[in-house]
Amino acid sequence: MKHHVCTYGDLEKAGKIPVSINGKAIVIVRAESGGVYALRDVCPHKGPCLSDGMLDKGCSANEVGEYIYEKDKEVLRCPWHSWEFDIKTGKSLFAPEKVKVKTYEVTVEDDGVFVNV
Amino acid sequence: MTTDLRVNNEKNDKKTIKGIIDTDVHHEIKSTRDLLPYLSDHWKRYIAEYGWVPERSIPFNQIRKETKYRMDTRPSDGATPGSDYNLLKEQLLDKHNMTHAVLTGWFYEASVAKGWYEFAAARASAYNDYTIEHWLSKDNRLLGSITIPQDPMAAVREIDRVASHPQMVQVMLPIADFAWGDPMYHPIFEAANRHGLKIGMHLSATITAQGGDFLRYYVAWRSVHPQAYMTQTISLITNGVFDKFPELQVALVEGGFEWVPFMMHRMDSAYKALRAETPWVKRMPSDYFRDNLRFTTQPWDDLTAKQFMNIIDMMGSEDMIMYASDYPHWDFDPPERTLPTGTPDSLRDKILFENARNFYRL
Repeated sequence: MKHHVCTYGDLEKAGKIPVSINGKAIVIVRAESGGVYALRDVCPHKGPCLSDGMLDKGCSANEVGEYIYEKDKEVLRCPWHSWEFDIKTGKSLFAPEKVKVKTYEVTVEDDGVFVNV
Repeated sequence: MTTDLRVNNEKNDKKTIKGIIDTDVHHEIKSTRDLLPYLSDHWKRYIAEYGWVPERSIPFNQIRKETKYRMDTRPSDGATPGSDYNLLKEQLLDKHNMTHAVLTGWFYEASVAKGWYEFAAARASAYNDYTIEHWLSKDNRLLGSITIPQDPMAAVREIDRVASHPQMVQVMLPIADFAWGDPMYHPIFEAANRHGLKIGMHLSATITAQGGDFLRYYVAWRSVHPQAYMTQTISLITNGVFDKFPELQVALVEGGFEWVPFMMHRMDSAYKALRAETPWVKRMPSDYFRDNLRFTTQPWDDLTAKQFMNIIDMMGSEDMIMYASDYPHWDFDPPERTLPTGTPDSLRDKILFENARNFYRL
């Protein structure tokens, strides 16, 4: 079922917005490209709201001493232990298949952001 | 003084526990100017007029907002996380139903500074007075750690000055790049023991590992911390600290506990062959571990209950581990989510409450 959660304008300003749908904590995130994503707003590690964390970018390397700034890999970083989750898939960067947060389908209609739960 | 509290474990089933004691809470000063009211006119000038700031020895910074702090712990006025009593009370003491929290501070620079011990002693005294006035006097749940300068005689004077405060429970010996078991530091243990205080040991920003200086990266430096804690335990035992002061107990905070059974066995094995080199050490090293040393849970290394119970079994004691959160630092562990599902209730009670209550005689 689709739920209106916020306006796109508000999300554009805030970057991420925590919402509650039927008692489920969900964080709505806007990618820099403009895409909107929704993830469960609970870190599977120790439980704080991921929405209290920060949006960040990826970083990789092919050899020692190299730092490749991954502008297109956008992550939600937990406010406590810094675990990184890909905002598009909910998968953690350190163990993508084992550790992940649930994601939800999002649609944007006019200025409204809707999440399917 | 037990209280009836309820906590959620990972599966949200309710368990009644006796209380919670957090053995590692970092209250902070907003800036060194907070120390001014407690410094003499002579030392005040260094901060108020000459721009003295503590030496920053750690070369690392994490890739995250607020770097070493939990991202949600900065007070609304922008002050240093951990410096606002009301926020700490809300986010830690009240939210997690703490019975007691041991303030371990974050002013270890005065204890590990090289040289100029007169000023270091003045800063340590000022920090203790600040802790008493701005923290201990506001909340009976808070317990204090006495900050000392490294110079043993000055340290003893400071312990004697503030030990009588009813909420001061231990003397803090930060772990840096020297070993506290050396006989030159024994007057500190004598003073703590004389006042019935415990010893706390916590990593400082100058913690290094035997066999090397700082490693190149924060992730490497953090991973090697237990090695420095091993150095301290070996130093205390081989220098006969617990033979001189059998009642003295030391809490090693934030250094892990997984390595403890390994070191208990390794030291016992070495002692059997090499005892004659340190004949003043009268008992098997593992006996001192069990009777005189305590370790804390944070940072919890995501062990399963089975792995954890194996470690407890190898320690041969359920009394050696105490809960710690490390609030407001980034790797904070809440009491409800520290011990893995499947940990027996009686052991959970001991780690969250009983072991610290017995240790600090609360």
